[in-house]
Amino acid sequence: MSQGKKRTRITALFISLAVIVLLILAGKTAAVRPYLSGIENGFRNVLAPIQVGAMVVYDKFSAIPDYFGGIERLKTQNNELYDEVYRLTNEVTSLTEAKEENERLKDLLNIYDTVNKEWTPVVTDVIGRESASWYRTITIRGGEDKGFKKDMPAINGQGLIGRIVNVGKTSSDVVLISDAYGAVGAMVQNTRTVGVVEGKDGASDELYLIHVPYDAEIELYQTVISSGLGGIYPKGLRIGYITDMETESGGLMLKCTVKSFVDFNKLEEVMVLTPKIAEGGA
Amino acid sequence: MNGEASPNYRIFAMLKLNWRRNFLLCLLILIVFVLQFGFINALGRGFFTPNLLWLFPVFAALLEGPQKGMFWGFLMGLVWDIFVGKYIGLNALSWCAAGWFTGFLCAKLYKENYLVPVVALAITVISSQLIYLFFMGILGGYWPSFLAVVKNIFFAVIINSVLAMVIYVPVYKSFTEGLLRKRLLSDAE
Repeated sequence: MSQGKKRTRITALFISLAVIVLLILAGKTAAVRPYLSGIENGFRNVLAPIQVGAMVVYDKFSAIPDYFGGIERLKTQNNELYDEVYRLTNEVTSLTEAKEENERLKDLLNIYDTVNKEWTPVVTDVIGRESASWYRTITIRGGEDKGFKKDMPAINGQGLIGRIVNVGKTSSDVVLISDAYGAVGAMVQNTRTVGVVEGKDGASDELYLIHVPYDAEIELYQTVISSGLGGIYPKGLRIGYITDMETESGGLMLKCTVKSFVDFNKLEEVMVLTPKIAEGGA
Repeated sequence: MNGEASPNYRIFAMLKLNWRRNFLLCLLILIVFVLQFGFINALGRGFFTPNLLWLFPVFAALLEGPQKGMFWGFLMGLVWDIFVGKYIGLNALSWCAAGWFTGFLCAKLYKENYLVPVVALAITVISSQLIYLFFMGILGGYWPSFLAVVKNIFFAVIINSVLAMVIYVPVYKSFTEGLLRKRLLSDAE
């Protein structure tokens, strides 16, 4: 065999081996992992202070257009207030309806009590966003040092954000509910119709409420909350409101577009819900 | 055997001769990492986010050939994989293949044309993303909709092409006659 052919074969063998090794590694890391490897932890620990510094600078600069863009801001606020008026009108109408609805409100209060009894919110801030690929995740300050664990829910004042998927020493990754892997068991607040909220596609913040029977009493602007099914998220966390609905191709199910209460592009502080039972046991 | 002609001697001599270029490249990589992971990811919105790391395999493939495109694609893909934390190795593999493919396709192109980086970047982004999505579907069972794929790749190509076009001219000049020009042993003699 000539020297050239031998070298070509060795190169081909090396490339094939490298491809196989990389694919095995990718396969092993495809699923959500509870802990990060040493290399990833090291990388994130180096990155964390840079991201914190960058966010400080970013916040300063992002305030400049806000200052000059007053009219645009007012327009946006006006639109948001219109949305809010629609939602509140709907809620007020619902509240003045029959006894059944009063029962539901009582249930709601119980839900909030349950959440407060069983979870302790730990406030932390967002130090990075993973926005340039097929996933919708954010990085938050705090990991094992704050007692964060995989699958702990993250919320903010507006509603449900997502859940922790990776825990590092000083930072954690939160997969947003708009991610393809961030599906949440959900229900329509007024009618208690159960479904699943999932991301619309890999790159937008829009949500779908799926697995809803075609004859369910769904109306626009109804509020969607977490159902508590699945065991990760507590029941009753606000997710969004329905903006559109269509019958799925089979004709048996409805697919509703849900506008999230949370603006995922403007996340600054989040609350991680840590279970009180785990704290007591630790 | 003559020590001066040994491969080790040649490597050390090249490193010594190009220390300023290598130092600048390291500095450039560091700046790009800080910009990308610190600022650009925070400022960007989905696929409207420029990815400076893509420029390394694109420019390497254009200016130094498919093998260098492959090397830089692997390196930057791996860094991106570690940052993303999912399917580690898949970006390294797809960017590596895309770097080689870009270098192979652009070998005959006239490099002093503004459209060259746009074409090269489009080839790199499209091929790397298609390879990535293919294996992500096989390994993880996640297949995004056709419309989402087209939309996302389209925006990624557009925004990064603008970036590549702006940066290409100074990089090209620097690589051919400036601080990033690779000096050969024959230059020193």
